[in-house]
Amino acid sequence: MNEPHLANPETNPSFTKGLFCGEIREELVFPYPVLSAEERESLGLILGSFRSWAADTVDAAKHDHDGQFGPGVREGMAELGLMGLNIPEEYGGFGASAKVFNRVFGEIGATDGALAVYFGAHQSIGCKGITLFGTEAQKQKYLPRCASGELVAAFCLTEPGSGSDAQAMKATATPSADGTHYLLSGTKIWISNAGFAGLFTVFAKVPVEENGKKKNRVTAFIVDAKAPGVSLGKLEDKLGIKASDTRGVFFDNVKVPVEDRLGDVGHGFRIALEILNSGRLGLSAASARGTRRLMEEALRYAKQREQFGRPIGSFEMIQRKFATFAYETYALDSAWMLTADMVDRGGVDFSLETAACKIHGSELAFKAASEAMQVAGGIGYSKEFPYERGLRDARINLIFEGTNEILRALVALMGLQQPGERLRAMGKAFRNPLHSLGVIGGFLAGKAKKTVSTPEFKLVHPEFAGEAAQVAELVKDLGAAVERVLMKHGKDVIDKQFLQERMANASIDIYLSTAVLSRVTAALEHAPDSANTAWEVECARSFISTAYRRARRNIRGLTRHRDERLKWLAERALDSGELLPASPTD
Amino acid sequence: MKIAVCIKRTPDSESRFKVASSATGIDETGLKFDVDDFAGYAVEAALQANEKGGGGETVVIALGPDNVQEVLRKAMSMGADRAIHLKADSLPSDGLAVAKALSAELKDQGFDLILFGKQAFDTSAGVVGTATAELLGLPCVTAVSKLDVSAGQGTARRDLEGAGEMVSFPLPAVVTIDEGVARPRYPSLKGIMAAKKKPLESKPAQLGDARVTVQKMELPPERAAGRIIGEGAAAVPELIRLLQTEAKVL
Repeated sequence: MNEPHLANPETNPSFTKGLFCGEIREELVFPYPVLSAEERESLGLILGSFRSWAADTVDAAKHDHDGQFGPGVREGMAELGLMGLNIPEEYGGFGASAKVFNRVFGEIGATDGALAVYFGAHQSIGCKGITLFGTEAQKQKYLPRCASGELVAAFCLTEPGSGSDAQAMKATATPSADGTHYLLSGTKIWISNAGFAGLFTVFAKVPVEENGKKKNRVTAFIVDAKAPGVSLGKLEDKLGIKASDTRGVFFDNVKVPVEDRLGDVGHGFRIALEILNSGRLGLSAASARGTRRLMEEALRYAKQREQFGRPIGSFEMIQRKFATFAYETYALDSAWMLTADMVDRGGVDFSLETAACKIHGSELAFKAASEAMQVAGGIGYSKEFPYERGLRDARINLIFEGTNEILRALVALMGLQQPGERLRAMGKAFRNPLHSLGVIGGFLAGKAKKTVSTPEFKLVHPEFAGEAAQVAELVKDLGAAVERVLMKHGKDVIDKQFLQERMANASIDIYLSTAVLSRVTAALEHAPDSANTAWEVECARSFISTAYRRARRNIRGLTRHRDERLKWLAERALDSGELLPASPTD
Repeated sequence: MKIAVCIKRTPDSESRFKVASSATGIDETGLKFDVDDFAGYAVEAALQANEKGGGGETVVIALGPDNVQEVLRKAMSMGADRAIHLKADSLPSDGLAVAKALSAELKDQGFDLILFGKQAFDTSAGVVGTATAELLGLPCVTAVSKLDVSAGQGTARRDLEGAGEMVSFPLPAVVTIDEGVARPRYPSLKGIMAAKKKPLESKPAQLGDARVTVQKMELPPERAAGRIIGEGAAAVPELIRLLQTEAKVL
């Protein structure tokens, strides 16, 4: 059953999955994408309109304080047309590419985190399912009103007992006897845009009979927010993104016409994943732009604030912060843009890359907010300045659209699939060697080939040959370490999250380094003498040398670690309910 | 009403400017360009006049190399119906040469109203609008902050130093627009999409002779560093003396 995959691992090529096999699928990441002249011009106009409008209308500090958007904000987003930015043109939207969409997402996020959540919950996930999986009739019926902002959309997946474990959901949709509709019942929580929404994309289980057995299959539905039986919980009082309307949504025997089922019965889980896969890219673009904005605020402060008779920006501990976030954000920008291009190109599996961007971006932006606050010192802690709001707003990104933990597990386990299948096929083959000589021969040949020819980059600019060799060395070592882990733990690797976390982190650093290599190569080829390219080169070198060291450590930790000790400490704490032994003062 | 708006592409006024190595212009690398601020007001004034009048046509015109097509498309994404690009390798410093090209284009097209910004941010010359009016033999009202047009007649308000002046004039006419007339609208996404399908005609500019050329451009001299005269009340007499005798501001 795994044979087709084994025979043709390029059916759905993924760069990051390749890394787990010790391969560099360079054609997926070179050349670095560029915007067409037309796209660049449109993007400039959209950003210009948004900025002018936001300068007049959007008061992020007030939104944060009041816990709601000011007058004209949601209407203005609709009038500008932003609610239809990524909805196809034929359904009344702008039909922006992922590159343009995410750049605009970033701008909105850097301006007002809550507004970005409003925008993203609507388009990145709320009505994205209809664009991706809707029938022609569903698209005609809903998308034009979503694009105009008349219908705000929201995405209802999470339940009280089903967060990261989406399969554990309890909501049900039971077909009516006459087959005209479903009766939807269940509770969804943490729903962004709940109070604004005109329609919900809802996931619920449909009871079916398969081979005489009763089963429940996760299925997606488009639900009218005004339908009888739909009710809303109270507004959540949150740490940040306060103006974003987050509530529980309750469905009590809501009649959903069969024509509003999205996709087939049982396809809901895949639909949810697909929506989230592309949706989470927006968070990374917003993280990149938000980091830049807050750090630039801190830069201005560091230039002007004097202590000991000189600007604090002249002290190296402060400079180290700016340098770090310059090269880390450079890498994040390089990666989200490259990933957005994979989304635009189609035919590429980008699920692990969007996860990598979301993980790196959310953690970077949160750290950046904290460090920008540190640069600003006491005033950074005051509500008069944007740092503390930035810190609170940025925190959610580590949690929603897939916690960073579940995403790391996703990256690791999906990454392990191909090498795992090869080994499993090996196992099977040896059990039945006469029938499987081809498989064994192929695998051994592949293995032999791998030991001779190490992975390498062929398209990197010669100036970065050294860095390219370093990254290639990481890929080779990751591939080898993954194989050792699989040989040692077999399918038990599913529970080895200490290892999964390291694998994920290593592959993320390798992917980001690759994106940086691709981007800096393009810069060196197209504008070798520009001051901007020289600046890029410095960012690129600093990032890759840092990422190399991090990834090295993570790869080494796959075979040499002290996880048993960590596990003992954690389990002891969990058993006793106390984190650590009594302190001398207890 | 058939309205022409002549617009210019100028750098963002908040840019940091450097003199180019030629020393006769600015270094354009890294600068952001846009519809000139006053020209943006003129586009808005034209759109509002036609919206109020219940129809008509707004035509935007710009002169220069291919990159001026960007600002023409922006004006169309705000709502202008079509655009004319008068192609020239560069924009002459002589406003009369530009006015000749514009008037050659405008003269037989039957425009009721021809709008300009009162001056462009980059040159601040304020010549092209008035010179075009002269070449076309049309009445010209400059620096207008409020404009009303209907049935062959226009009225306008001009803000003077400390006073306002209301003028009336017959159409066709040339009007140069000051800020205050109306805030330029933001292009919506729908407008941006629509602009891609609107006609943009590009043709060679029939420039007049450029008799004025820039010989040298220089930045203002750098300000000398500040000087601390002393501290507290004791320093005040000396400060006043220096402000009177040295800085001559008191």
